[in-house]
Amino acid sequence: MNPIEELRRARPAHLGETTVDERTRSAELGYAMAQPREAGRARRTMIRPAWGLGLAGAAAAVTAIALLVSGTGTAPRAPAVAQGTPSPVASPKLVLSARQVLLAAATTTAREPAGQGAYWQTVVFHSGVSQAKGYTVTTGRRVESWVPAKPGAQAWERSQELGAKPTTPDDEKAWRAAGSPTKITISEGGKPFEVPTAAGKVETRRWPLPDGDKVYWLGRNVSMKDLRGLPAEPDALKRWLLSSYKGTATETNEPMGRDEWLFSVAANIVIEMPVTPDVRAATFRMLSELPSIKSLGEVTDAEGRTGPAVGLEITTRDDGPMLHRLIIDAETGRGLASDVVVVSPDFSAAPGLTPGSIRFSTVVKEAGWTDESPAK
Amino acid sequence: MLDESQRFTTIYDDCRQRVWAYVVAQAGRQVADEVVSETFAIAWRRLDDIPPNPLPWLLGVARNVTRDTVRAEIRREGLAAQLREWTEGDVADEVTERLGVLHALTRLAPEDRELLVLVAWQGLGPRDAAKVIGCSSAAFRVRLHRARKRLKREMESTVPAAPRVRRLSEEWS
Repeated sequence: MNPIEELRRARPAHLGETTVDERTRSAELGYAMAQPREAGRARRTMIRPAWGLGLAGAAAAVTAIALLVSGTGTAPRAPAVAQGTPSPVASPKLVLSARQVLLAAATTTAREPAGQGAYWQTVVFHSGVSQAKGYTVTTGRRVESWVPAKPGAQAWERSQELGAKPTTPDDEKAWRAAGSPTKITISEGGKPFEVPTAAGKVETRRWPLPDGDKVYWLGRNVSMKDLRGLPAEPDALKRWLLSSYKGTATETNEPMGRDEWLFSVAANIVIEMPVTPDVRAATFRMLSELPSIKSLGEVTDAEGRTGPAVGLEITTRDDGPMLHRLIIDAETGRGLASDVVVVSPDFSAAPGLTPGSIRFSTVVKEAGWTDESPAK
Repeated sequence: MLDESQRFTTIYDDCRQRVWAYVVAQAGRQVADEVVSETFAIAWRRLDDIPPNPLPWLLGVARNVTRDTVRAEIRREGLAAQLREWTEGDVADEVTERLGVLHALTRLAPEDRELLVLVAWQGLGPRDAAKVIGCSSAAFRVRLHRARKRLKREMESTVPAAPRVRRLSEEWS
């Protein structure tokens, strides 16, 4: 017999499916829930359930905001496989350097008005491409959140799973050939799991701010006051941020270099955080001084919008090297979107994803201040 | 409306005993409740970070808590006592085969035992188990393969009736 199977059968009975006694249960639950909550690092960045920790880290590394006034109810298109996107290696016609792109964004964004309101409201589409049997599928999630300006208030989130869709026309053909299943089995090394093609129901949650005032994670938990007080001078901002740098990735204990770490954290500022235009400009200027950040030319995001992009490769244990991009809206100087793109032909988690394919994408459709509470 | 404490309670109810079983297999029953309690305290603090499949995440936290809060020799002693209980006590109606496997398990290095327990007793797949340990799933597969071979070797050389606990504590001293 297989030794693992024998070991399984030898498991002591009391380690099996028993239940905890009620007194221990209430003591442990009571002790746990007496703890102060920390602002979620993954909350805004988690894309698909079963991808778990490692991938959440990859997905979180870059997110993007675009201040658009378009409608909110539309489902996102499947992120197109980024054909035609100049890869950093192959692109022969880079017009602007990363430094030029980032400095231009800094100048433009500094002209934007600073807003105010009771809530910082964002509408974000997260999507990711996964491997099904013989084709790839795109799964997406729409997350609308309201982060209160005042300490002691509650944060709100309204989210919806958008259902799985074959990624490309070829994938759609393969999906049809498989009988157009309404539940698609995704298998990426771990236990296979099913995702429905239909959209899920809209879920609304709210919670008190951790410690009463923490709203975002920026190497550490920060309050609105912290965000307003961020240095508007690039070097000072860099020092401020790096004071939280411990040599590891933002969400795992994997080692991560300073530039990669700064890019991950700074991209989140530009993209989703309620900072002043001056601080956003300083963030772009700070990034422009990092030599490892490369210009990627004009890039199309998962929503089909284009803009100049910068990025760098970040290597993780689970996925190997991946290109993390920040796509900028040339008109407003804000982040347009961010994504993670396959660069290695050996990328094994999803064999259907070839170099140049978008693995994860974060698109912020709206971000701005509002006085309106979601409690209606 | 998905209430936060409700979500946490569900996670607790779904996973508590499995986290406990994991800690028992790492450091013995004595310390298990304390480690579990601390693990779920961390889980509540970081509720927003818990992925929808919470077990590997929780086991990873429990693993760190065990290492950070229980001194190595206490872990060894606790586990030795636990293994004694499994292999000596409460065995009247057990088959010798089962004892042989447990004896074999006691003679493995802690690193091997950890992998085998995650797979065989926690039922984790390589990807999830690798997350708990903090290595790549490729590395995990290699290590599991070796651990499995060593387990097999120990099983084949096991004399089921003879308690090996003494030898175990010698090995670890």
